[in-house]
Amino acid sequence: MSTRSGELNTVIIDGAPVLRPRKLPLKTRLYRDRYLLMLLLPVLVFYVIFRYVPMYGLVIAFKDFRLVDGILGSQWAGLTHIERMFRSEHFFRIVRNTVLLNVYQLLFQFPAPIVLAILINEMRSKTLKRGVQSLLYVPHFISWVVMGGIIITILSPSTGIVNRILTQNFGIRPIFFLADRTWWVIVFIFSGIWKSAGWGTILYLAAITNIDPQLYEAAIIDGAGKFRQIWHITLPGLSTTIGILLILNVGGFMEVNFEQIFILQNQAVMRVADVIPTFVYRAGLLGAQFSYTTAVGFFQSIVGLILIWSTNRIIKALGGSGLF
Amino acid sequence: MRRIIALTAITMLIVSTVSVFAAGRGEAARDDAVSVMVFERGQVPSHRGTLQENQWVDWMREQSGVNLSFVPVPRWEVLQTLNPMFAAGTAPDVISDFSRDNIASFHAQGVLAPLDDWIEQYSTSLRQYLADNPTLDPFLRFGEDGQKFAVATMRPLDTLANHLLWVRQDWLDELGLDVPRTEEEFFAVADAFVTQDPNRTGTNDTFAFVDGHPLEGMIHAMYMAGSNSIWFVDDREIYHSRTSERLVDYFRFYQLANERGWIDPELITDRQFDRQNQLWVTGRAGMYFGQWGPPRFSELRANDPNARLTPIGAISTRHGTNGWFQEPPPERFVAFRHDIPNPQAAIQYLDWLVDEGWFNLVYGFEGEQHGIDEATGIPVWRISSDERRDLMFTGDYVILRPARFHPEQFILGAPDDPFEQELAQLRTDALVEQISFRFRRDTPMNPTMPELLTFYDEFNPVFDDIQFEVSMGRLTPEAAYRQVQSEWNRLGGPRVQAMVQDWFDQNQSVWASVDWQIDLLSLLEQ
Repeated sequence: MSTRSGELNTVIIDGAPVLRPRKLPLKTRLYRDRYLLMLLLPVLVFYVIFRYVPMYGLVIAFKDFRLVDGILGSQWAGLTHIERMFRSEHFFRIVRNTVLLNVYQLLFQFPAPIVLAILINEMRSKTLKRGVQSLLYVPHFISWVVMGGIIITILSPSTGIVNRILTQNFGIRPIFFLADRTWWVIVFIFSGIWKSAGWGTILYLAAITNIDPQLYEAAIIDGAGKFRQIWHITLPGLSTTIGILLILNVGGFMEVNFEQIFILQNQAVMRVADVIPTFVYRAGLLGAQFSYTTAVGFFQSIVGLILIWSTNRIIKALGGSGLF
Repeated sequence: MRRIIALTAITMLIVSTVSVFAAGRGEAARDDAVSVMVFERGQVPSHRGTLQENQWVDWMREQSGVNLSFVPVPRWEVLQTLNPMFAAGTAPDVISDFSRDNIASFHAQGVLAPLDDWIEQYSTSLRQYLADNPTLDPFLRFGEDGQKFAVATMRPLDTLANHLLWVRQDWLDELGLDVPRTEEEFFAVADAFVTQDPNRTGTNDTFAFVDGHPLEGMIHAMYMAGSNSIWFVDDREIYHSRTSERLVDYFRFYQLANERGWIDPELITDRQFDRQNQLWVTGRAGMYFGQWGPPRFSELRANDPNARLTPIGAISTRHGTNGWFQEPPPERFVAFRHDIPNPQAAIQYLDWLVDEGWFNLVYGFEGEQHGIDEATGIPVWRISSDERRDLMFTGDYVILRPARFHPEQFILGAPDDPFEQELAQLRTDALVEQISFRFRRDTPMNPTMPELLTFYDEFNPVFDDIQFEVSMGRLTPEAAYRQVQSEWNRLGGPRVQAMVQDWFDQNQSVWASVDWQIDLLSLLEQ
């Protein structure tokens, strides 16, 4: 490494001269790192082929796509599908439902793993802690089909355990949770929490173990109780992780877990439960309206992109470290 | 060390590139190869192989002389499976489906081949069969120029008949009631089943009826209203079944069913109808909206030795008497992919199926699985029903079959056991009852123009909302009907109505020239 000394440059930072590595020409750097770049190549190829090339399929939102003509061969349709989308009442209904369900999810489902992680972290018994953690992970591994069956059964107004408890212990008349528009939304959000909150604690628990134990010791010496410690040490220590996960969550804002909603929805609650993914499935895959549903999906992606970008900006403006 | 890194990097690069390109190109097809779609129902017993490769597939290759391969498609996910396959260019050469609407959807996407020339050029048996059965003709033509894009064989009688209403005769006897034949009598029986404790448990734990899946379609048939796809014709005027004034009574039925507790409210979350069937076999419901096969009869009888069933072929209303759903004449629609490489071989295979192949695939071999009844010439099973279940999967290869149905088949084929004999008699009676009433069908097929489908996307969710509100008693049937009318007009119903009228006027003369409405009772007498 004889050239090392020649790579240093003097630059002025804050009025003082500082030695900095000189920028080598691109060619030299490419040649120097050729093997490392080659290792990166398969990943790049993957992204190009499976993440960027398929994007050209988006043009069918502006065409009258027919299977036989293919993506390139189909006739151009201009903005007819976009127009139809914005004129459609049903479109506004599915957008409204999608947005509302996501707002509720963000309000209730997003903080659940944070609270849970803090609670787990404060447990004293190591064995109990591990047991609780493992139990909390279980729902993550059960498919929505099974979960849906369990939920429908336990919430049944005639035979479900929940209504039996309500009737026998509190004298409340049985509630048909899944056929009532208000209760259905609550069940939807809670089933999401039930399934994902435990698994979601993993990242937060990892972040908590990174917090310097000396901070807690100092706090205890200063006389801080458990709640003060959580408020002044654990939560600030988690803020970066929370921020990044929030951005990722908001990026998926216009998406709803298809399996979850498809399994839980029924005729009685379609007014609140029909969302973009279920509509795209019905009209696109079953109804062969490929162009129109691509336009709807395109709209969904654009909103998602705007949301992820603005959340990132807001978090940066608030002094956090954003994602990009 | 650097060498190793470099080698690894290059190897990874090559592997990833090659695999990407290899994925795009399929195997070069052999000259006479034909790939055929087959319904996957998970019925192949593991010791018989798979749906793609088993002794029957070998036998079919050998007998037909065509190099066949089979592509399984899940029975209930035809569109979800085939649409992406067509888009990716991996769809089978020969596809088939019971639903004409699905075939029409593929035709609209341009992925099917016109068949007239190939049938004329290559076919023998199939061509003759189609000429002998002109009833099929209007169903096989698609598009404005009316070319044949599909072939089919006639449904045997037992698959033409479909929905049927069942009632517990022992409950009727217990309460001293007659079999309901009119709307009024039906309502009276339904009320009695709910309030008069027909199962004598001392509590009101019964429902008037359960839904074995087709309830909604059967109420559509009963009132000739409410269906999302059916159009009716009165005096050459075509109108949608949801704009008929009969809709008021249709709505009233749903309202009463909920208000008077005829039906289990949890039907709405019971999407697989498990709970409904459970209520039925445990003797907690008096009527069953199902198919013409006696619903879960052996289970029901095991739970309640007194259970007896009577089939009901129609419930009359003040709008007339309409039978329950009967299928249109074609059985499976068979179509070719637009760029099928070996149409001649595919036709050869279909000819073989129509000629002789279908028979052994349905009945097995004479002397082994079946024998021929001397008096009637009807094939009779020689194997137990368990062994038959083992062979059930072969029926799904039979996309064409010029089969005839003989009602004697049930009795002749039934084991010498009192219950089995009773069941066979019940099946015979049920089939006769089903076909004794004609199901009203004013056009051979439903219109499917794109504007109409776009309209349905807007209108159907609104209609479903209104139907739900009226079922819950939050709207009177009359108010609901007025709401449906105004929504229909507001969302552009009159415009699509005019288009459908044009479609009807154009096709009506063609339809009138063939007798596509078959008289089912006459089939019984043949």
